[in-house]
Amino acid sequence: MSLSVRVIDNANELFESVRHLRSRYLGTNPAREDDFERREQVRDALSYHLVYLDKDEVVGTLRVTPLGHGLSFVERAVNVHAYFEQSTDAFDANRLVLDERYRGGRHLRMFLLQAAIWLKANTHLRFISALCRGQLAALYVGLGGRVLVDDVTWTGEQVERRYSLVYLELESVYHNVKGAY
Amino acid sequence: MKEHLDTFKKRYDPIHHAYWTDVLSDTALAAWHQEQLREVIGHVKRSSPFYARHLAQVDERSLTLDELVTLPFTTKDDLREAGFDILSGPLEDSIFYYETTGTTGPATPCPRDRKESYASNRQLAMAYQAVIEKHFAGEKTVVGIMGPTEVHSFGDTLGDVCTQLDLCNAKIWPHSPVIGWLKALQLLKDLRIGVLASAPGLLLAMAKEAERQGLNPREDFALRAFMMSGELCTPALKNNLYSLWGAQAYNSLYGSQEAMIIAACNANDQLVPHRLNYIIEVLDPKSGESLGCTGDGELCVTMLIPGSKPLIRYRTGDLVSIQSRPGYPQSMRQTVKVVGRVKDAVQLNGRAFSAAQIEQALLEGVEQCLGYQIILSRANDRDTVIAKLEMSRFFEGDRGRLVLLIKERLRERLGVDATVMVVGDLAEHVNLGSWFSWKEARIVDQRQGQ
Repeated sequence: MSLSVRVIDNANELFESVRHLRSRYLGTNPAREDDFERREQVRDALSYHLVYLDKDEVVGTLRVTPLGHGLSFVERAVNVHAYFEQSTDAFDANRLVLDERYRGGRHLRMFLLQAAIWLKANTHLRFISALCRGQLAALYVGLGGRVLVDDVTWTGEQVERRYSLVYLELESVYHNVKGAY
Repeated sequence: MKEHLDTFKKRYDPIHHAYWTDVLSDTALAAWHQEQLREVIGHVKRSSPFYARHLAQVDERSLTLDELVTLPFTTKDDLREAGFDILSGPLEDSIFYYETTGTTGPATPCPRDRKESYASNRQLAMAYQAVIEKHFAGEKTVVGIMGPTEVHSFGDTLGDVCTQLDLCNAKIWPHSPVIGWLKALQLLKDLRIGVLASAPGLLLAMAKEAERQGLNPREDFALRAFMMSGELCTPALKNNLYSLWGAQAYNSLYGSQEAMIIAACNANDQLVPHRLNYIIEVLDPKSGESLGCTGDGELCVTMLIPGSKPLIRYRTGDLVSIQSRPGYPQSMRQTVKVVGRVKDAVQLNGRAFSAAQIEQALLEGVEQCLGYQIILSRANDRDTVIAKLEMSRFFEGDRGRLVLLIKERLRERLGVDATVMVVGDLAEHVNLGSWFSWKEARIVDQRQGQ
């Protein structure tokens, strides 16, 4: 294994693998958002995409979408300005996927640690929102996250989904992951 | 009867010489303006179907300079609607056919005859001479010309300027099908080109290409000066270009396909208007009231050379600041700063900002940047900005500090909350759209779709 983390944008040749990985594990438009294709194109164009690579194969991905611009799904589901005083200092962590072959070991923490190191060094984003469910919410709480809202209800086209809004600080995520790694 | 070039030169060359050697008095300049105004109005009324109608009530034989403000404007809409009817004479009397780029409507024809090409290029040659004497005192150099060449005046104009100054010139437009980036960079290097005429966005794109080819733009070329045109270039972008290339950037000229070269730079990188070829007015951009020949407002020009397409009281749509400098030589007595196009103004949270203000706020103090893009969004009833910057591999600063600094400056100067992102690869059109519109190339407005 030769593992590494890279940051790419949606023009990168690896991005097709990112889309494939997302589609495999998250499906297409899980929240049944309206105008989904256009919204996702904008989000992909205006986000950082952190990819976890085994040699040249994309085996993990995380989308980092700037908060405070009305772009991300979380900003449609929740009034984030009520929880983030300066929302443009924050990003929304979304579309986190890890290939099943790499789950249950050190990989997720290693991926998140490298992601945190890069974000600390290359961005002014210090706070994190994550709109998530079940195991993922528990994971983020385990990394120092705090559940701000436990019952966010999103009503999409013919579907109703419930989420938790989790708040994290990049610095504490970094220390928590590093400590456990 | 149309005046031929030889006859015209007999009148024009002495006054051109007097203008540039500072022996032309204000009175003599005003007399030239008066004489040319009457001549050009008579010419367009006789030769242009549009102006025959537009200026039908004007008697040019008794027209004074003070009465110029009573003449109707010529607008961009007039040019689009009139098409070939605006021309003063048959196309066959011209030596070049050019068009506007047509990004905001149909392209309009801009042919030039010998006289107007001669007069326009003579003024630009003075700018090139000043810059080349400054950077190549006692030396010769090669001028690279990187601009569109099909129906754009850039290549012909600069080729003529170089011929006038006895300078070797190489046309290395990288988007020509027979040139391309690789060949353009090779020629730039092998010919030891010392001066490159181009648009700032193209220079950013070329730095990126040079890095892709494994070259260091600062070390692998012999460039000393950039003569820029095509779009605005703020002090911040000039500083950034210097950091990338180690060459001094000049805003070499201000003009357009339809109005030709209204101003060109001096050796101190100030734009000086060509007052032999134009009568210049500054207008209140809203009311159209003429504020005189200096001050801040929209630039309006009356072209004085009776060629294929002289325009009378032409509203350029560009916001300028023209300063008078008493005591300076006649040719340097006024300077013009181009603030931006009226249509390039961007509204942010109820305040209008020029393209220059936005670029300066974004790039001030930023070095080794290969391009930028601004995305306008809206959230919580406020306009916001996402700024994307692509940095050179030679950037050695702290990226985290850089983006924080820019974010704070955008908040302070533009009153917007911003996210500033350093990205790996901006879309190519960001840098290459600059021949057409700064705004269209670099601004993505997402506010309507949200």
